[in-house]
Amino acid sequence: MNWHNAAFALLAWLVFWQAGLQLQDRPRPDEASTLRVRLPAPVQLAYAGGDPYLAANLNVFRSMMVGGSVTETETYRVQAQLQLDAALFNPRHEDNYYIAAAILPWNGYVAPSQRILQIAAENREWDWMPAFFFAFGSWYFEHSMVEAGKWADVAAARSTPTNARALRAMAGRWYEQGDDPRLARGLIIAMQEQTRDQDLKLQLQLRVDRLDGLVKLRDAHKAFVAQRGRSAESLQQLIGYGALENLPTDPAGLGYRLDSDGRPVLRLLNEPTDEAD
Amino acid sequence: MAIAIALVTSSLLAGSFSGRQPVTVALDVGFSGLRVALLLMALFWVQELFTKDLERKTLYFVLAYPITRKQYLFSRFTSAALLMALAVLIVGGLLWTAIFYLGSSYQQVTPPALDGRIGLVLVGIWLDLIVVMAFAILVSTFSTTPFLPILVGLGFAMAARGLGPTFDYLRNNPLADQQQASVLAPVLEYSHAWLPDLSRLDYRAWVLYNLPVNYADFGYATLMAVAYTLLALILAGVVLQRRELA
Repeated sequence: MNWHNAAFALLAWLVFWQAGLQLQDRPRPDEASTLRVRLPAPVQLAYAGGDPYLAANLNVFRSMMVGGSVTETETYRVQAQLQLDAALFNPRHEDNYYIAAAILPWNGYVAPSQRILQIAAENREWDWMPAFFFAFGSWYFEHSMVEAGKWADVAAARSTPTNARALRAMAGRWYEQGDDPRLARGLIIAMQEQTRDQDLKLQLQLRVDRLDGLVKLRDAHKAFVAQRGRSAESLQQLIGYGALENLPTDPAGLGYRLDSDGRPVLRLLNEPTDEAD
Repeated sequence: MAIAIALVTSSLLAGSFSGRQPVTVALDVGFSGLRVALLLMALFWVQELFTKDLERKTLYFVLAYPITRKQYLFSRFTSAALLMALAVLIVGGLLWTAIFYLGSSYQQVTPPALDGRIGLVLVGIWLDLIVVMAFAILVSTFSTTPFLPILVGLGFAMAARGLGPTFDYLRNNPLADQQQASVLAPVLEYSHAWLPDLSRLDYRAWVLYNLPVNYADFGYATLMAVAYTLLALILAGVVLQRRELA
């Protein structure tokens, strides 16, 4: 190697070294763990070599990379899409529904998360968790008590006896808060008949009695509205209407109240007791 | 062997991405890797065992022996298929062993079924590769450039593997782009007449989620694969018979 070859090589190396040094401290464009891109599902499949299982895994891995500190809507919107695609590629994927239930609805993406859970619940017939999460979502986020009760029952049927008892009790509470007390009552009685567990039977009986009281109050409310053309202002006013002779006592000790439309409803655990009842 | 070790390592690493089912994910990614790696190997072998014979004209010496071109073709295919069976067994066995011994440290609620069903999954993967090999041989009988069989074979494998899932997605998913669906549906509708749906040979769900074996699925998919392989080989035989080997 003669001297000017060596000089050129040295110069090239110096430039290379300096450029590398400069690049080292420059921020990378996508340092934060956000998601931006969701390709159409057939393209995702092509990237995975036509392998739907691999496509599902890749989507789930991408979703797992989203850090807990990310507060950006766009990322969660894309994540919801990716996870929904993953659920369609491999409906039995366990991590997929778990992450979806843990993250998506709490960031506002209730519908996709419910869809993912429903797909998982329908396909993982041995697994009570997706059914239970779906039930919880229906109750807590969508206020669809009947759906919640139905899937909680599915979850209970799939789980161990101890778990099933707890799940049925929980579902019972949801049924009870369903809008039609007669329907809820019938379902709770059905659940009572399906269990051989005496403790649970007693627990459910409390809920049946509580709903019986509500049914009477609702009948009185109907009669009151029919006669007076308006709703009652307190529960006391309902006495004497329908077949209501005195206010029903709630065996659970929580009592009843009127909602903003003047309809009798169950008082919930976290509601104040300042209304007249 | 290097491929096998790389495959097993990467599938075990993939397992660590999973919060609740590391063994299942490791096995899942392992099967995916197996299908990709052995697909490349299958096309490479067709290239080595068959295309190069044609290209380097060593075929003349073989045909100087008292065998017909068809016999030559079928024996070459059989040896490639047996070689592939061996490869599937070795790599699949290694994957199974690794998952069985290394994957047992975390107790999963619903562990994958590491029993005889893995054998059926490997048979499915093998049949999938056999179909691709037969197709690549068919392409090489009429191709005049050595890389055409590899490229066309790769495209064929991806199309045949992705066909079923894409069709399902477009037909059954309300989220699918309706415009895409209406353009692609007629193409896909009749595709099963000329393109095998290789995703039907993917039985890994039985192992991953401990599901009962569906023998009807297994039987029809096997019939489909064997019939398509024979069809491709017969056509290849006809083309080779007519080819001017000058």
